[in-house]
Amino acid sequence: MKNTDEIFDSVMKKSRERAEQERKRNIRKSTITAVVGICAALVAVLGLWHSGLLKPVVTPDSVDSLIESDDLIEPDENGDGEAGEDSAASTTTAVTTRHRVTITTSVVSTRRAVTASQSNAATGTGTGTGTSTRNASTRTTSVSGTATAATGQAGTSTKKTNATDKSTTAAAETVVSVSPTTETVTTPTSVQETVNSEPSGGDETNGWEQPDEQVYVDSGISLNEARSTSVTGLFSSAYCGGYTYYASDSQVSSDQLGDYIGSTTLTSWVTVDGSSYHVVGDVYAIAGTDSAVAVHLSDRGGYYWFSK
Amino acid sequence: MENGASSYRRFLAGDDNALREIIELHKDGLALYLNTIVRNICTAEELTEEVFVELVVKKPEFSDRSSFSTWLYAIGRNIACDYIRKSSRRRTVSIDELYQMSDEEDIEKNMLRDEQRIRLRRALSELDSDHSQVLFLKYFGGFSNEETAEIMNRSKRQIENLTYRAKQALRTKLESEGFEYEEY
Repeated sequence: MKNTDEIFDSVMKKSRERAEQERKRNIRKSTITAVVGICAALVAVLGLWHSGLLKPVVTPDSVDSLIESDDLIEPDENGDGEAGEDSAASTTTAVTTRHRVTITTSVVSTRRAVTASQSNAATGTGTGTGTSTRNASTRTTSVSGTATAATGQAGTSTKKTNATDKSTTAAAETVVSVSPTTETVTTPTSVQETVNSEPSGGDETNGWEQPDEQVYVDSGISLNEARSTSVTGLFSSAYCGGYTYYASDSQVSSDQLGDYIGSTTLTSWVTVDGSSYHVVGDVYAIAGTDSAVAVHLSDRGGYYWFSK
Repeated sequence: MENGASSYRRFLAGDDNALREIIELHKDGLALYLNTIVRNICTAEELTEEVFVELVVKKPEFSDRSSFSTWLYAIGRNIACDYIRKSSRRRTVSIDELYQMSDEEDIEKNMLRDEQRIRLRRALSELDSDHSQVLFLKYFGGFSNEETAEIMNRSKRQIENLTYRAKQALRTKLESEGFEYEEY
């Protein structure tokens, strides 16, 4: 049995040991707490990074640089200096009784190349009109037209679409009938169409130049549309031989006609203020002057002249 | 009510000699009381030291709701119960058991001095723990029923019933050993 002093010494010694153990335990506990806290913070940061909350935000400037890069936009294929158009529409008249007419339609997209072609061919003799309208917003191309068989011959008209040819060819020597039809070209984005024409039988063009306007007739005369039911309203001006002729409502008698300029293909089927007009005509110079041309407008039943 | 309360206050104020006074005053009674719980005098002595270590390390606050010895014995009982709870998971046989009897005799002589009281305490140690504790606290520690109830964490009514049953058990034990006693 220990006496009081021995118990006292033992108690004091144990107390010092307990105090030291407690101090070490506190240090260990605080160290573990700090390590666990740091790990939790790292896990939280990694979690936020993984969820994208801490990733760099794409600024408008960087978006612009991406758009300007070749990764998103294809080169300007049609060479017009513009990256693309949001919408486009064209009206094409392509029916002839004598000449082979080739209309090439290129469809260019700035974001994804979309090509389409159509081929119309008919044999026989007759006249006809037709239009082709491209609506980029609905991504459809509408082709419609009518033709009259002048000789009463039966004929055929074919039209096919090939989405890889990048060209539309319309060839008609005799068009018997063309039924309004609609073709659909699937384009993922907006497109721009350009229409070019290469008339065959170059000696019959007599130097008529290809117009820059959208409305184009095979022999090289282009008519600028106006919104009226008069002739001047139908065609406010004509472009021929490098000159612009302005329409009038005056008829020209046949004895006033001068040299035959060569085009009998002045054919148009237009819609003005909701009314359709079927126009077919030859182009003659007016005798004794080079300041006007006469154009036969079948729907008007005579020759009307266009002056410079 | 004093029983070392002023010494403990002086110890809390920084006087280590006050702790020596507390140890001198309570070491034997505490050891014998804890022996009624753990049934090993060597372990009871170690636990008695643990009680004093507890005072030094944690410096628990003593309020005057009870006597200092009641408060100190309650601490000792909690420590002994913790010890039993832990030792029940790892049962060991102490080599000190060989010296247990001699140690116990020393303590008994220090505290009890009377041969008859020594024989009575040894009879108590053969009762079950609760009976042994309540009789020791009441008749050797001098605690009242209220103080005994506080130390043993029981109600006063429970202590009264426990005392009655403990005395019955003790009487049976003493009669079987030919011990002559007078009714209290």
